[in-house]
Amino acid sequence: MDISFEKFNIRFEPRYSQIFKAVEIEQKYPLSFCKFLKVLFLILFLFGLFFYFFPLVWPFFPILAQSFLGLFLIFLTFWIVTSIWLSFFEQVLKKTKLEVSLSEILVSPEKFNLANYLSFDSAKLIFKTKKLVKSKKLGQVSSTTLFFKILEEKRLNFIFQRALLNQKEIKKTLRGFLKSFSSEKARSKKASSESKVKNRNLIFDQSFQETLYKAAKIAIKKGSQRIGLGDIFSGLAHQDLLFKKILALQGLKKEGIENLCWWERLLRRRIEERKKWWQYNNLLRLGEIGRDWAAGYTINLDEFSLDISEIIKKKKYNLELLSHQKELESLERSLSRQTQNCALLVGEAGVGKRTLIEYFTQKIVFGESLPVLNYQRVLKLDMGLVIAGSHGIGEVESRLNLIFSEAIRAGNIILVIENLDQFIGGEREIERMNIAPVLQKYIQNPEFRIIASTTYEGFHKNIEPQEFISSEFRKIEIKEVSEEVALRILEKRALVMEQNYKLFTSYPAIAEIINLCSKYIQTSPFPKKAVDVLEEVMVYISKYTKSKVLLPEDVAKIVSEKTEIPVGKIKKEEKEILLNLENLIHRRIVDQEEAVKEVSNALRRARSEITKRERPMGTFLFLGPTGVGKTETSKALAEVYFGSEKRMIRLDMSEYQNIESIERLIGSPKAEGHFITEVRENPFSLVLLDEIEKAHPNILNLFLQVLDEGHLTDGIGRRVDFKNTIIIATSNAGAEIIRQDIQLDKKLDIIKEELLDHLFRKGLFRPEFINRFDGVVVFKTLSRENLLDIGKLMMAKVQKKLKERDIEIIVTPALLEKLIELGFNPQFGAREMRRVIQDKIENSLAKELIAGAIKPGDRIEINPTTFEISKV
Amino acid sequence: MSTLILFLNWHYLCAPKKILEIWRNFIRFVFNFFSISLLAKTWISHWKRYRYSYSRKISIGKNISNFIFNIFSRLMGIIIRTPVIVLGLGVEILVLGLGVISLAAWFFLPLLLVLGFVEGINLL
Repeated sequence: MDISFEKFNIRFEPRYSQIFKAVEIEQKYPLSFCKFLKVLFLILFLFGLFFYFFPLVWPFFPILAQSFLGLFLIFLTFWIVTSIWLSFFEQVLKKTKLEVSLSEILVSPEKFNLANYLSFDSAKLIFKTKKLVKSKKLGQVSSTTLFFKILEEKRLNFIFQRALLNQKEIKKTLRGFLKSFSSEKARSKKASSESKVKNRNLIFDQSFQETLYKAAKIAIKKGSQRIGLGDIFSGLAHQDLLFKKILALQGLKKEGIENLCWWERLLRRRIEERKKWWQYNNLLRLGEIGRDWAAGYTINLDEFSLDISEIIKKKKYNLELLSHQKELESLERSLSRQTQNCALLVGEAGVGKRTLIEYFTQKIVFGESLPVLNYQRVLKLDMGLVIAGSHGIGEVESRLNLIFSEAIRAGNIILVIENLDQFIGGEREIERMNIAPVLQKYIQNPEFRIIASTTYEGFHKNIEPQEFISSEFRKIEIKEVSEEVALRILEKRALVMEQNYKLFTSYPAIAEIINLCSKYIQTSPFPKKAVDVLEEVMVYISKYTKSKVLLPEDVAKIVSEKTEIPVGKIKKEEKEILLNLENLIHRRIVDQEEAVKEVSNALRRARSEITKRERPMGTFLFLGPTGVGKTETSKALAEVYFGSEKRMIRLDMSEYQNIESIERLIGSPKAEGHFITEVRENPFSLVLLDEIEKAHPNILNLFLQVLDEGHLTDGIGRRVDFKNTIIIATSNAGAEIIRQDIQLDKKLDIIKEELLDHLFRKGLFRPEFINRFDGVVVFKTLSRENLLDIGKLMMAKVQKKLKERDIEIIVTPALLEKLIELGFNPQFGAREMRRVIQDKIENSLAKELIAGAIKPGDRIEINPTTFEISKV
Repeated sequence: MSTLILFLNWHYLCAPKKILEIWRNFIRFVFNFFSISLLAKTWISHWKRYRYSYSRKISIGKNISNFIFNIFSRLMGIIIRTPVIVLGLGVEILVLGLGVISLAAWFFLPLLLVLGFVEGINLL
């Protein structure tokens, strides 16, 4: 069979590939049948063996014994032959020799036969697809035919179930599609003049080639040399139009399929590894004799500690470290030194310090670490237990003296002390248990190895001031894991939790946890925040619902409860809000058409996520005179976009004019920064930087980083994300230019140009600062007509408030005219108007209400000249 | 390459390597299981590091009594460690022997299978 290709230049020739020969052999002698024969021969040879020995007990038919021995020998021979054949097939025919690496192949795919790089299962899938194409007379092997056939693979059931994809429905759709394609093909063939020539060539079309190429790339990404079934499935998610459509309908991304394939592979590998009982790691789980005879007794230490090594040995599967490999190497190096052999892991709670210690312990248990560390015992000191029941620091110190000297005498102990900062220095009650002096006594002993952990805050507050710890402990920083790694950690954890709660976790739910935690929770890092949410959702479902499946809606509900942000609603409404943003803002803002339009457009651009964005959701600089609606627009945006005006973090930048004020902004090792803590606790907010021009230039530089990279590091070294904030900076610098230009009836873009020129000339802002904003929005001065509308809006608010008390107020045009007459001041915009309403209306109303002159059910009117209130 | 050549290559080159690897795993495991190298290195060490130190500050009598204790601590270590080392070495020899037999049986397996089958037919 000859293979021909169109546009895409890949060499794919199954008939010249060894792996396809193996598939052909397997078609003749199916592996499943061979496995059945193997079991059958095993039973038969055991049967023969049993009856050979049976006459020894019951010796009346000795003649039969010989025949049973013969049967035993024959079936034993057959059993060995089938076993050897199966091993040969698995080890040789299924894994053909590869001449060059897959990554080299992709550099010049036209030179090498990509068919050689398929795994056996993938080759079998393509073989079956070709058969289908021939039998249905489809003419071409396309990605869709491949997709149709891959649905039959039982191994992928896991992926379909987790992705909540209905396999049967998809198959039905595909069958219909292929049927229509087949009949269309037949019609076009009939009509074509070429139909007379019988085309025996089977074409692997463009979509198939692109899928295979993508699959090869995915295989390389995960370090594989063969294109597996999962890689082809992921490739289809990237390339096949029909599959992409199905995924879009389900709200799944193609990366989601890649993740699911990774998950399936992880489980499969775990099972396969466990089956290989002869592997050294699996044998080591049987333990050992006399390992600790060379070490001293640790009676007290055992009482106050947890043996992590023993826990690791009892685990049924190997732990995997998905991140922090460099930190692990650093930990091993630190502990293997002769001096200063203690390590201090510094990182936020829940960042993965404990996992790192457990993985390190596993390496030690299996003798895979450095020789000095291999086979040592890793014990976690329970400081709570040490302190509990003691009568003051004296007793704690004597207990610790006993424990530490035992650890040294034993000679094979690595001690883990979690949250060391809580027991060193400090001022609070628990921190009076200062173990620093005891620690100092032993720390220089080469046989005293410690892994301590702490948070950034604890490190700066309590540990850093203790010089001996800084010099004897090697500091290893553990950073937050990426969203991708967090997702994989969650997939692993979900399997364990599922067993405890008897629930099924869907992949969309897991992806939703990562998505929502990343957006709305910043108080703890990944993976902790994601694992916490997963557990909370599991508890919620198992306790309060009858459902057995964990869905994204459940996740949204729990995150909403945790953060008090209606996340599900926001997600649904965001599209609607974005499309209707101008109208929504105009409910509160009068005129400023250009400004509102510019903000709306910029936000739509930013949120459409055309390019990958690592910056805040939107960043704007509002320029204009006082009282023209800059802050009001920000409030309106906070209300429509974040659900409430309260989701606005407001900073008066005139309070940050000195370099010292940076500390108030981002904090210091000793104190948390007011602003940064607020953003950390409310990551889904609008940040309003009022009068930005008044801030110190260094503070502007700090914001330069926020606008550019979307994050800021606080005073104690924690990274605070601004990706889910909208940042609005306001300034009334150059307001006079706007006023003059408006009077001269200049266009807004010319006004903006002149205004920016003025700002740069005066050195108020640097061009690189201005350029970081998604939009620089100029607010015009307000006209008398605008003010009339604003007056109406303000009075509508007064009406609303009174209506709550069942009082109706009539706002006459004369009253509004009077208010404008008093409140119109181009210099102060609407602010003067607000002052007038407060003075003339609200004050009078307040007096009458307190005096009891106005009662619920009354209908009132205000005299526009005297501002006296009368009942109507 | 024909399947027969592939098979012969696997049977006489690849599979023995795998057998050697598994054999090595077992040898290493037995060595580790009985802690042979560690127990041999620490054969005459004090039992569980139990020992008293000598000093000029304390009396000769006390030093002698510490010496006697230390000797017995070492003796106790030797008494407990020796049988484990011997047992471990015994098992190790067994594993070595079984490995040699397995490897030899693997090389002659085609012949053994033919003989087994013929013998089976004869016995029927």
